[in-house]
Amino acid sequence: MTHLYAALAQVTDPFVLGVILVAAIFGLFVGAVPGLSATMAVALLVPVTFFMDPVPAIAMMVTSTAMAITSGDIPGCLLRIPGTPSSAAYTDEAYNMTRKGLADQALGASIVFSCIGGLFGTLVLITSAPMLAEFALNFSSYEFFWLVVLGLSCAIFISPASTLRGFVSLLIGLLLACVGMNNPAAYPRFTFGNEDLLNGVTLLPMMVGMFALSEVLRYATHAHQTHLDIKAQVGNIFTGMGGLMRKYPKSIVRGSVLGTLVGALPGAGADIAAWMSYGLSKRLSREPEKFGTGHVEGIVEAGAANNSALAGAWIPALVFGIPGDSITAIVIGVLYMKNMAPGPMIFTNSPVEMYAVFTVFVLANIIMLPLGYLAVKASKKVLNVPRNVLMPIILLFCIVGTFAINNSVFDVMVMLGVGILAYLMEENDFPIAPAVLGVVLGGMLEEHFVFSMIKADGDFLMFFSRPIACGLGILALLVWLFPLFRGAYRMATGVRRMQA
Amino acid sequence: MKFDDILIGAVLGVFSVIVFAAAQTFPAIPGQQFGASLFPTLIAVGLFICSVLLVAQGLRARAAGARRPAWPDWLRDPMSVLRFLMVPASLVFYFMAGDWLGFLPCAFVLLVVLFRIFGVRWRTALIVALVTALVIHFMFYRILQVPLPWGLLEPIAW
Repeated sequence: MTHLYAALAQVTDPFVLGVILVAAIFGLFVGAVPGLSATMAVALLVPVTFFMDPVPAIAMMVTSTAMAITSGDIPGCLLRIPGTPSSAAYTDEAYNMTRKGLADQALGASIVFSCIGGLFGTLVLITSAPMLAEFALNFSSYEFFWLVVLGLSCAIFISPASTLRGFVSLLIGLLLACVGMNNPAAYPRFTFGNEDLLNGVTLLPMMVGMFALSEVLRYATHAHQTHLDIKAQVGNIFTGMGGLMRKYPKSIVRGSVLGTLVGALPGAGADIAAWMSYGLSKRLSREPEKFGTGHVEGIVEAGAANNSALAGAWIPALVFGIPGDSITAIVIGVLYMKNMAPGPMIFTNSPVEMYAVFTVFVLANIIMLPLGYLAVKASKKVLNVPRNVLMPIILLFCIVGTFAINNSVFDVMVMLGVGILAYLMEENDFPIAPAVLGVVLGGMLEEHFVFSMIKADGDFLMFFSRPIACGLGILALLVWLFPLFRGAYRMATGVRRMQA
Repeated sequence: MKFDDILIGAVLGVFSVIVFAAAQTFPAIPGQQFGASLFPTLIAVGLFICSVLLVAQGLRARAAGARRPAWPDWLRDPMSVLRFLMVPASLVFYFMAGDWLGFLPCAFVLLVVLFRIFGVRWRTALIVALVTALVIHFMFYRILQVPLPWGLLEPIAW
């Protein structure tokens, strides 16, 4: 309890509250501008958080992402352009509502149910993360090895892109993680005699390159500004929300639960949560024929799902150091910088900061209601912000920010190299999420594997010797074998059909 | 920029062979079975398998009559290419000129040039560049206390 009071005192500090407000406005803005994602918002904040104390730094990241995911719905609803990938699942639905004159309801639903979903995810985070951490205190390197394997596998198999491309992306990430001498043998690998590479490819410049610089590059090749004309009139967006809550209680709960779960799965974040939950809502709805014509039910469910996914992603990130999505991959990098290594011990080592994370999550989801309202009102101006002015500023910010962290020219080169790589990968439909996970988890995977092997004296069966490790190991194997079974089943049924 | 799967596969294949060869030069630790070369070797083998599958996929697609991805339109537009190249060029400019010019002039020049290339009007470009440079300077130098260089402006540093 004393920790909670200490956390409350820190969060309600005027400076931290100011930071939260600024981050909220920044997040709303980034989310509402199409082409700028919530992950980019965090990536751009990295240099700023670097020079802050842990609590304001975390507050900044939590608030800006929650806001960005919510405000991404605004251009989707008004213009049929999703502001962030997480809104793409129900953009058509929301736009059709606008065409039917229901823009108020669509926007109100996405903000109110984002708030509810976010609060639900936060509740799960608050209750489950400390319990899970206590449970995980007994984990040995065997359990951690399997957890990392499961995390990496999830990243590949859950992504909508092709499995083969997911693999390539993962392997590239793992290879990047090999660079330097942070391996069990402490031998400098792939450093080419370069001293800067001895410590490995620095994580944060890599993230800025992947999520901010690559976006600038993409814009540079497709720089055309079309004036977006918003015709819809927006009135009071909060009328009738109570009615929706009474009408769709199941959707709200289902969306929040599914969102939290998908968020907690490594490699899948808010965007996949929204797609899955929209699909589920349609399948289980009493009036599925209305979906796609401007029906609010899917927005209620998927809107709750993408915000709850945001909080869900923090669970594995804090407890195991395994990021639940790209955003928490950056967060993990920042936590390491603040000497708050994620893992089961984090609740013992930095309890105040952890309670602060929880408090900020609750606070951010509550101030979402008034600020979201203002964002909708301001949307006509925000959506037409000239992107040819915005992108050069983002580029300058990337350069200055990355350089400021270590005063290292090398870091900026890393940012450029990784930015170009990420740009090329996305252009060729290679998903980025597995690479991010590979980079973050590569070192952990190798360390736990080698230590386990040394402990086991080279006997791989020892990886199944402890009950939990055995369970996790079997689960990992099942995840891997599932596509094979499915393929075999399809082939078998296909043959039978041919014979019939 | 979209490339053919066959080309991507081939490049990845060659790359994986190089990684594999490099990994074999890592020394083994005496008395231990798993040295520094184990993981890079596994990754290289994985990448090689993936590259073979990618080439196979590309060949199958071509046999099925898929068209080769054409060069994107923007490569034919000199302004687009210039804009793309300006991104790395800005980084280089910032390092070469940053310390000598100082942050404020450097950021200002950089922004004005970028704005103009991205098609912003002169008046807007000049005003926004000046304001942005000052705001970023205030944010990093004052609030976050990052030692940004003053350069030419050293005599009037504030």
